[in-house]
Amino acid sequence: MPVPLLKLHQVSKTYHDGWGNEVDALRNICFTLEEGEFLTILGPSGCGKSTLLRIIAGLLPPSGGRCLYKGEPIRKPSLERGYVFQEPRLFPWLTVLENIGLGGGSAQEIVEKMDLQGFGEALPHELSGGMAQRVALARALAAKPKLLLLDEPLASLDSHLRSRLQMELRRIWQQEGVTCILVTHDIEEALALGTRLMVLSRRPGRVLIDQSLAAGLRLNKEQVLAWMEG
Amino acid sequence: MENVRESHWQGLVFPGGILVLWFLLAYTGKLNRHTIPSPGEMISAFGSLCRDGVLWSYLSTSLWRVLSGFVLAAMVGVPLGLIMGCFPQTVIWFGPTLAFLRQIPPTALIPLFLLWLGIGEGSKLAVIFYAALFPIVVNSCLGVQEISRDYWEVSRALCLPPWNTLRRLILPGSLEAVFTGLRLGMGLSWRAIVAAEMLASTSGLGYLVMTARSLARVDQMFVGIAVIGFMGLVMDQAFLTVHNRLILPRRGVRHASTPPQTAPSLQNVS
Repeated sequence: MPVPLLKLHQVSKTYHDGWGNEVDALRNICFTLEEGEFLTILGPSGCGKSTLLRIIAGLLPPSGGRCLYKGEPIRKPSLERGYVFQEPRLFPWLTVLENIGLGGGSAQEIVEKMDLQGFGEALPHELSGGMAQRVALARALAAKPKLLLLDEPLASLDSHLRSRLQMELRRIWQQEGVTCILVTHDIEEALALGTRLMVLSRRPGRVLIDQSLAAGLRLNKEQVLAWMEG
Repeated sequence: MENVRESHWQGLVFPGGILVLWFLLAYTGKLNRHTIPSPGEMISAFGSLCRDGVLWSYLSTSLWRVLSGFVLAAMVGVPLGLIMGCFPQTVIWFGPTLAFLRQIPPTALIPLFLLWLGIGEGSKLAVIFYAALFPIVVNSCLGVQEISRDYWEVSRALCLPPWNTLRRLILPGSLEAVFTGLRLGMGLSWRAIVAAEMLASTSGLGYLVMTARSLARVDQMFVGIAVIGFMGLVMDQAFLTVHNRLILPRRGVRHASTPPQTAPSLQNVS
């Protein structure tokens, strides 16, 4: 039986807030992800979507359960799992080319692929918000990840830029053959981009719905909203 | 991009007024020449000290001492501060000791350094080293601690090896604070060396002022004091120029004789 790219079994996360109270962020998350899928995760604010992504990236350890990547437990970050944060988080003292080259791989090649020619020597403060986010995406892709973790990367952009970057994400997924997990709070974005939709409950985040978005299984915004509101 | 350079002509009003008053008092003969020289006497003393080569000799001696001690302090202080910033446990271990030592002014240690190292160059180097070390260590440490957690998380997500983390994140991320520490350290070491030369030396600008006092040459005292102030200003401006030309442009600010703010602050007077 082939090993799935990613397998989460009963994953939970508890942490202590600033006042020492124990907060249940995630509870018993179970799912598997096969290569080539585009999973979109929806959920209300604070339901643990980003925490889940950080656990998969290896940036946070789970409090309980098992998180396996290619059958191996995830213990630390890996270049095979690229991460795009909500904000571009480009190092302000490095040029676009240097930022993209941080994770290794050919920065020049990815600059051409992402249509960033002419911006290689620019500093982050010289870029627009949308351009900076494209550079952040290029930085994650430069290391040729197998799994791309997208933590609401389009949330801070205006609707026009968001649509453009959505198309770009779709193109990258199709052309590069990279498996994607996109966390978002935008239902339309989740339905437009994903091949599979997961809806998390309010805190502690649990999987409410895990539904394929393959052709023929059409969902509408109202239906998803009803799931989210429980 | 932001341009925060402004010309502060107002800053010249007070010293200009003092100069005019000084000239007027000298012209009307109301100056006590035993305590304050006239502008003419001061210019004449400056010329004579330059012609004899005394001023240049003492100035170069003081500058050489400061630069040697300062470079030593920077070589020790910057790595020490960066290590303390990277490993918070070291702050827990050594923070209280540093906090105690920082409270002791370098001049208070001059007698001790003289006792331990003699009247030669060693004691002067020790004073400068001590004066410059703490601002350099503290600012370098703060520089690392103030690097945003977001950038640390990026470096983890991208699996940056330690050398690249140092080269791409820690050093450039803390550069501005390190530079502020170096600038403060240079200012403090300049003040400290003049004090050390006044107490125990046979050369240097501090010695010039003290011998002029012994010889009741108030004109030479004023020349010495003015040169000390002027050289301190020149060194500070040199640091500020490097800061404005090399560091700020990488962060989206063209120049900063004073940082952007709503109210003027003495900390930012340059």
